[in-house]
Amino acid sequence: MSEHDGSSSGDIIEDQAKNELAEGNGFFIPTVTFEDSFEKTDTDILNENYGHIYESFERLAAFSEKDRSICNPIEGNADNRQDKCKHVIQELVDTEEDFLQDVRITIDDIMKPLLDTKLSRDVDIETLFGNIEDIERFSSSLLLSLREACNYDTSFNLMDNEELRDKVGQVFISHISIMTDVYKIYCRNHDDAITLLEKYENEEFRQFQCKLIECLNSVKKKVNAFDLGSFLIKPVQRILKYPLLLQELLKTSKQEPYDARNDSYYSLMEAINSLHEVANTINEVRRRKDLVRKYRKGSQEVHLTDKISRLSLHSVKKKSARISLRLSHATGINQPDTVDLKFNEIERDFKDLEKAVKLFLQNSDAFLEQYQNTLSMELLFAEHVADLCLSDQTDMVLKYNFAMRLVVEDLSRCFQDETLFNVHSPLSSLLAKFKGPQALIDKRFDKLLDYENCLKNPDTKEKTQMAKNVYEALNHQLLDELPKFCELGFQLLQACIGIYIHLQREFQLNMLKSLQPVLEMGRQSPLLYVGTRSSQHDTISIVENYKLDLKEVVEHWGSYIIVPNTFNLFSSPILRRNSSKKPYSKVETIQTDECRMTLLQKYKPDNLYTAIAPVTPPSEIDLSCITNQLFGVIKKQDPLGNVNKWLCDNGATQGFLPSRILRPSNESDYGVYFAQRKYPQSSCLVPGEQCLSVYEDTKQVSKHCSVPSSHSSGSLESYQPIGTIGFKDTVKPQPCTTGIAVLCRNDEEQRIAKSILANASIDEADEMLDDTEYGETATNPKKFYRVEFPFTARTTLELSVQEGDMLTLIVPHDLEGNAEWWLMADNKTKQGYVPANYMVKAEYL
Amino acid sequence: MNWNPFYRQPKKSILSKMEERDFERECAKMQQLEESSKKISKTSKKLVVAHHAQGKACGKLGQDLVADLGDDAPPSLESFKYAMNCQHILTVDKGKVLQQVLADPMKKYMTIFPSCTSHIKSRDKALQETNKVQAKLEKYEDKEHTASNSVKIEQIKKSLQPVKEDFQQKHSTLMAEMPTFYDARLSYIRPSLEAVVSVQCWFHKEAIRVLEECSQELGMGTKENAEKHVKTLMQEVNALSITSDD
Repeated sequence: MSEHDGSSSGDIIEDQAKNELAEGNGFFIPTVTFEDSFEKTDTDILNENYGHIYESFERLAAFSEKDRSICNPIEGNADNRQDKCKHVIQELVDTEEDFLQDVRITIDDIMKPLLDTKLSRDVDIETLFGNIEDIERFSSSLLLSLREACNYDTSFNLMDNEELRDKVGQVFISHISIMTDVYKIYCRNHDDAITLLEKYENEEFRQFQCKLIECLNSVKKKVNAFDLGSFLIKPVQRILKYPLLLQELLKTSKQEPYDARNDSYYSLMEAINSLHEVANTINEVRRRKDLVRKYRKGSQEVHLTDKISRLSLHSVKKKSARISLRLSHATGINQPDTVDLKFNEIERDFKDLEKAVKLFLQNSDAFLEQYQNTLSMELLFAEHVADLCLSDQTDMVLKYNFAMRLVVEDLSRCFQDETLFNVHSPLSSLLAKFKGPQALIDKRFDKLLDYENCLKNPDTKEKTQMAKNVYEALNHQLLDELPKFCELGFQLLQACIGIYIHLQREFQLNMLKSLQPVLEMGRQSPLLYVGTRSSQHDTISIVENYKLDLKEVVEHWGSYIIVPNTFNLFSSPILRRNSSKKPYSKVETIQTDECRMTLLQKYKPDNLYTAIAPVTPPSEIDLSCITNQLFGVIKKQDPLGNVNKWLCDNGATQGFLPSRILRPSNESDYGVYFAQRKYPQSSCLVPGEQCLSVYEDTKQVSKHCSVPSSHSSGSLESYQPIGTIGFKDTVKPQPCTTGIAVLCRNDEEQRIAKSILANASIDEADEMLDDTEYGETATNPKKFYRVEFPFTARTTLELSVQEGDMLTLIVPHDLEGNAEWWLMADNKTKQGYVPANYMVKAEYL
Repeated sequence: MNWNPFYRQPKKSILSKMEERDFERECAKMQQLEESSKKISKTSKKLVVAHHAQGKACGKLGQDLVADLGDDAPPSLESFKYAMNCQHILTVDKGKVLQQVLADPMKKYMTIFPSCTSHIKSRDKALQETNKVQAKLEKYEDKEHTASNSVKIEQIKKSLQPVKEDFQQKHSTLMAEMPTFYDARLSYIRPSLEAVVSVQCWFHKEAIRVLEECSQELGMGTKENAEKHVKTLMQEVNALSITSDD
């Protein structure tokens, strides 16, 4: 049975790893001492000197292959076999007992004393012994099961051999899964343990050495052992022994292998196979670990000289092959055939987590910086206030200054330090941990490419197999541990976030604590009811309280000469726009006469529209407007083609307005705007002849105009306004003064007209302000009105009137609030609705 | 008597040195007030900007975290995002309030100073004017008392009267108003200060509420436990074979 049979399919790397381990670690099994009968039959194996313990795993696997095909139960006489069977079982139980005892000694006499003594932190006892306690537990359970199964203590010698074999096989089968888990971990850890042990032989670990020797001395009385290494290797040796012992047991069976009725044979076979599986698994785990260890360092910093020294023909060839493959892969020409969906998913998770952690750190840094900035600004403010107050510093200013200083210099720094220490540093080190897996992921991809390359250019089968092995090992290891890594990383992130929140809360609490006394010193303490109301409300109440306070202070400032007229704190649009209802509103521009003029000049009459309702702009690109404001429509849609919003010009700026509030405008309509302003309108202008002619014209038009059919829905433009004739010219696109000069006979009148106009614009502005403030036009109706145009009632609700009639106003709007129809009464006590603009105020009766 | 030849005897002013000095002092005070309120105004503006930036950073913190972890972000992270978002809104609200109670009023306050300076300037001008006329008058008075000179003196006296009155009026108003205005600075800043403190307290309270809710939803125990948890997790991460242990 040649040694190469087992590893014929193995790859070079593996062999290399083995050699390294064999030489580097100096890890030999001194002598595998098997006992009497065992030795005789299996001399071919046992007489060989094991170079390396893990080779024995492979050998075992190979042996089982051969054994299953070639080996037949040994021919011999029945009695001999009967004895042998019991003998082997006895052997099995006895050695298990010995093994358990050894393990217990290791735990109780070496590990525990070492753990109890306070050694320097560098001594990692846990790694040294691995999960030896699990081994102990497993072994005792196995022993117990074996003893029970074979009635070892009572009727063992009377038991039927067949039954015994069957039972032993069953016991092993039932223990396989635990065995795999326990020994996998132990064997994987064993290498590290040996390395550590070597490290501890150094001078610096003298304390450890002394203690160890002390322990070993105490142990020597009980068992024959040289050093800790020989204790630690015992479980590794033990796991190898099970299959051999079972094999031996199998040989005592006289049955033909193909006898289906023979349960014991098959259960034993199964147990043996499972044990080989275990050995294989352990071997595979180890191999993967070695690979991972080898490639993990890939990304870590390597000196250039190292790199060059590593350069060889082989690696150059490999790398160049990979580059071309990588290129074709990147360009999408060649998609890899081997796609592991599960791996891809895990890799994505991994990358997401990495990105999240990275961003969290960055953002958190930025946030801390910003917070610091804000706080230092607040401190600066406190200092400036102190500056301002100079010698007259009030208690509050002093205390505020003090509190802010405390907040910024102590609390904030403390918060920052703690955040850095408890949140940032774990996350940063987590982030650093991403490097290893990343290197492995890269390497896995490289190996995948190698493998595919081999598949495509059929090299030797061996080479392909080797590439496949490496790729699969890496893939498996990543599949195995990457999800764990992600899960742990995620939990870590979550925990850090928890701490982060906690720290923030503490910080806020401390700040509140230091500021609360300052607040209580102030006159206003509106925050006593915080929590019962919405937070929005609180801020508003703070602002309201502030305004009330400030009003008291600046009330009489208006009388100061040095305080300019513009210093009017509460009518400023800046303050008004900050009310939370209008988050986007711009400064509400009141349309000036000039704007109107430009609009009238700029746009054709069909493009002039008036607003019929006030609008608060929902966003910055929208216009605000008030009722009757004039707009030039530039485009009857918005950039998205939505016809419900039109691009409009209010003379000063452009923006969007909902089309539903726009109605076509004409100049007369604009006149209405003026008509509502209730000046002593045409009265002073009437004398002019031209004025009269205009008067006549308007009258003509008024006859043609249709009268609205209903009170409520009368559209504005259908009215021919009446009281505005005098102003008609002024709104035409010519300078106002000339319009009036035509109408006025002498300078004196012109002066009056000008002043009226000036007043008009001021009043107008006032009124528009009123509109916005109170919503409804505050028409203050004079009691008596003179009818300017005849009006014939169409229904009983309306009142027929003649030119020059004097009417008494009862209600300045109709039942539905339409201000265009007024309820009037004539002197015969008849009542009815009359269009408002058919009448003019009777100034002088 | 002054021996310095370069030191010109100041023209005799209609104001006593005392009065002049008082006025200078008040002016200096105003100047100082202007400077310190300018500082406050600047700081308050920056403060508002800083609040906006802080709020944004806070919001980003939560948003990015959830965005990166994709759809399978667990509810605990969602609640973190929510908390951060709340803080964002709170910070922005705080910034808005600060704008209203601090930045805007300070801006308004600053508009007073140019007007004050212009008043001081016009008073200085009036003073010069008066001094000039006064000097003229004195010149004529020093001359011979001829008939024409007497007429001139009468004329100048007549013209001096309104100039002087104008100056006196300006001077006295300024002297009356500047100290009161200066003193009023305390009462002007006090409401702002109070409002700032209350909005700070309000912010902290709200933030504490939000953070408390979040930490409850995250279901984390004491801080010490969490720290321990972090440590064990870190060790577990290190124990994985795919992570390098150096």
